[in-house]
Amino acid sequence: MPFKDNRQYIEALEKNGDLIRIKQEVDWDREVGAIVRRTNEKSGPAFLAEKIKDYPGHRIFGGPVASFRRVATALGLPPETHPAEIMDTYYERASNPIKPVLVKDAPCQEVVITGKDVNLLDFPAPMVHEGDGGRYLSTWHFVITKDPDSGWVNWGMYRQMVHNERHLGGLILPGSDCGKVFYEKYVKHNKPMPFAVAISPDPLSAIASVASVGAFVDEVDIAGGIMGEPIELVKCKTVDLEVPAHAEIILEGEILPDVTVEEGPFGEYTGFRSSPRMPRALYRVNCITHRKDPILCMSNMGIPIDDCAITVSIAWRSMVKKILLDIGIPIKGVYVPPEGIGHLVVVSTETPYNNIATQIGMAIFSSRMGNLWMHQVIVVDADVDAYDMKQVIHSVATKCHPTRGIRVIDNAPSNPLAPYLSLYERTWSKGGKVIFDCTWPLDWHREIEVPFKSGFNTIYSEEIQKKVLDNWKKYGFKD
Amino acid sequence: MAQTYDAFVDDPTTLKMGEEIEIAIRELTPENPRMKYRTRYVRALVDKPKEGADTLLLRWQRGRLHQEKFSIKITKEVGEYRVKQAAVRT
Repeated sequence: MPFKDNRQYIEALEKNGDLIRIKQEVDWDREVGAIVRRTNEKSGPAFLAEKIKDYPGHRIFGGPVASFRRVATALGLPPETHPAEIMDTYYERASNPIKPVLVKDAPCQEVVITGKDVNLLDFPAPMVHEGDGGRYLSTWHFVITKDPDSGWVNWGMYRQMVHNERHLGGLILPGSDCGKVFYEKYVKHNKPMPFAVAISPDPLSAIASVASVGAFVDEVDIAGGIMGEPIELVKCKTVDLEVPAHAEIILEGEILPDVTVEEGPFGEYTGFRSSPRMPRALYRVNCITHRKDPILCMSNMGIPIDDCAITVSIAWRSMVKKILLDIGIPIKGVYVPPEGIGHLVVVSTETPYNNIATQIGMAIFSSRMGNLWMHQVIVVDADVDAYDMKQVIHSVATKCHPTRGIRVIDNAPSNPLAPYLSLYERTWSKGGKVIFDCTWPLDWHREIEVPFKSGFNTIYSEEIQKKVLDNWKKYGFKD
Repeated sequence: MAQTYDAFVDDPTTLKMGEEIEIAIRELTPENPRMKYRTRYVRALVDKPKEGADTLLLRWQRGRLHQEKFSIKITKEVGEYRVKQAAVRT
């Protein structure tokens, strides 16, 4: 049974030992952020903080999908499911989108606040990191916007910082799906863009909102496919948009075309605070609706592994796999390791021709996500498990020639949050890409030039392997 | 009662003391604790620390706190947001 909302999901996580309840009071001002950060870094459980300083009756759910175990639970799989199976399950379901259904009454509209009563500071928006530019109400959410010409609805997880009682500041990159519509269809004509934000949505909708599914593809359909049933949507009260009926908090309003507010800095998904405080888009909130006793869900981005790292590992891997299969690459495995925060991709492949590694890298870098977000591609032979970083690092260290095995692409687009870029490069999207070819060249003689792999499964005859395996426990080994 | 604010600046060492500037400040000691970190655009006189005056802390643009403290005297509230100056790319 899929989880319609976070409340059902929280119960399931607690049953699996992947969530604790914090009964003592915690402070929204840096303490709750530090708790999320530490439990992420210790690969610890998620938590539900039931008592928040200054906010009686409010709760915060921290680290919703910061482990593969939690995503497995969200997908209805056993928590110990291998990441490869989790990703394949996601891929299969996302390939079969299901259209949403519209409902009349929704839990997310149990309480409706409009006009002068709108106050973002009535919610325990956390100061996530010391030194952030403000309190980030929206760290696990998605912004919903619509193309006025085509009607295409985009869901995207774009961070939002509380500016004051009625305004949020947010980073909208021009290359993002939201940015393309905002800057081309609204800013150019000096018109405000209607928006809605679903804060604390169900876990699978949130993951779908991070997936780059392409222009004119609605993420809500993908979310339905992953969930295995239609997502229930309800019409907003003040804008012509629909929102998930079971989200905890909904914001409705307009993004103004001609004004800005200072936003950031923010401890970002890269594990650094790279981009400075700058004038950024202003969201004016005209209406807030929410469930009774709302639960604010938060993620805390920083050094991996956290919610963002896991989410992109799954969602972006799905995109890369599709791209490579569509062009006929005989892949054995595709992995976007969470430690690489979406920048690094590992592909294991058969090698029917030389330089297939270059083709793979170029295909990934030419894609929507790869263009901005993916910077390094490692291609390994088919006998290397792409999910086993020991094997992958061994391949890089032994089979990637330091000069002819590394293909560098200069003057490539790059996302402005990449820590290795200078301020100038970041402003003008002047980045680069690199491909590590860790495959044996096909023009090497197989017997004379290609080294023989010295592993248990390769350097011993089947007879010796069988003898050792049959006697393993008798030798005294436990595993 | 003296209040404390902070602001993010490109380079704290280039701030001219005693001159009125337009600056985005954050409230750090509001009466209602829920208002902490709320941003205001103001015109203000920033100077060396003075007894009894409101305090201004400065942060570098990526959040690091500058060690020096300053005094601030707010002369005018400017508004809730700024008019867009140029096409901001990031």
